[in-house]
Amino acid sequence: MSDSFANAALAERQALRARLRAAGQTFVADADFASRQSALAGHLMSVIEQLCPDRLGVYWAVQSEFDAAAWCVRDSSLEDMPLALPFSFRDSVRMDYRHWNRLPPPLRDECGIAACEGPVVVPDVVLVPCLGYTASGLRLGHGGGYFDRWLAAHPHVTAVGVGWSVCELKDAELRPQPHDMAMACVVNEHGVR
Amino acid sequence: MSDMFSREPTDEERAALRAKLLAARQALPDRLERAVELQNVLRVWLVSRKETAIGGYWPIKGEFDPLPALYRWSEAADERRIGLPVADRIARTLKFHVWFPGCPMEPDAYDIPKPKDTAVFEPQMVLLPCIGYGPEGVRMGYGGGFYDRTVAALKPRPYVVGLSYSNGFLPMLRARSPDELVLDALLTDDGVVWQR
Repeated sequence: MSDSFANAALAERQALRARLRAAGQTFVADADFASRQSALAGHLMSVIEQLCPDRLGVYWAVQSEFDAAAWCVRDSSLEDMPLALPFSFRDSVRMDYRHWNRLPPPLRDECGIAACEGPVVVPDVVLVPCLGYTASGLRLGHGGGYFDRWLAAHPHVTAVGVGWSVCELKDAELRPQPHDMAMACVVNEHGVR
Repeated sequence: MSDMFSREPTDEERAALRAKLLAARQALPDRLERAVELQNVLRVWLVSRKETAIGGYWPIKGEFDPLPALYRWSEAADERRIGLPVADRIARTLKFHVWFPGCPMEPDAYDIPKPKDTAVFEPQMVLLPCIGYGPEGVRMGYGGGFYDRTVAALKPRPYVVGLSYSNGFLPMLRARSPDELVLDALLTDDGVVWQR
């Protein structure tokens, strides 16, 4: 009985993910995308400035995600900011951050995402890509649980969600799970949610 | 003493408790580390707030200093302004004057430094120091009622945020009257411990 409930919930989440992926792709294909992208970048840089991290964890964008790594490398206000990129391990599902020297990533992690070779570090502020999110800071990822696990193991780190406005959900739509923890804030192209 | 935590304290007990908490705060061996933590908590919390005018305070008697986080917040957008309270000894209320680092200061009626000749503004949010705090935003201040009167007079009512070190928690502290100022949020070195 409880199994069928769990399966139904899982199927519902997968359907939600598919819907959000489609919404993200339509959004990225829109003619206004360039201006929306730079709008999000502007809000995000302002948030980073207010948080003044010692080290910022960025991410390598996949699919229709905001390209945080590229914008952070390009931004002159972050010139001296030490950066880090995630590296995901598939065998024992886990993720580390590695110091990133800002050069094009030379390798891929076990999920096939561009990654780097630097030593393992713990950033104090991390940008987290959101397939979906709520205004209260809850997040729906791709389902791998990599960020969830890393954040749960590093509760003092400030997580800043990054997503497009079309990916914002109501709490009832997201149906938070017991392990879901709210991020400090979420930034979309209109500003801080 | 143990009795004080199983029921609401009397006025005399409140005064004694206040003195004890003040002494404890000033003697906190890890006050600096707690201040760093609370600075982070405040800085992160402010990022998602929509207000553009915030009244802070000048720390006295071992209070947490909110001004570094507040100034950092104010730098991020031109329309953001921050300021400090100036006590009116007659009306026993506070007015908020714009403040910036390096701003010329002079002692106010209670010998607390206040900005000299800067503009007065109405804050949309007020940060205030708490000597102690109870559940659900109940606050123990210095007992002068300045913030109670000031917040009650401001229209619209500003969002009221208490700042305290976590050792100020008093589980049995309750509001004494419906008019007493109750916090909308309370931040400590442990994080956001209460938000309406």
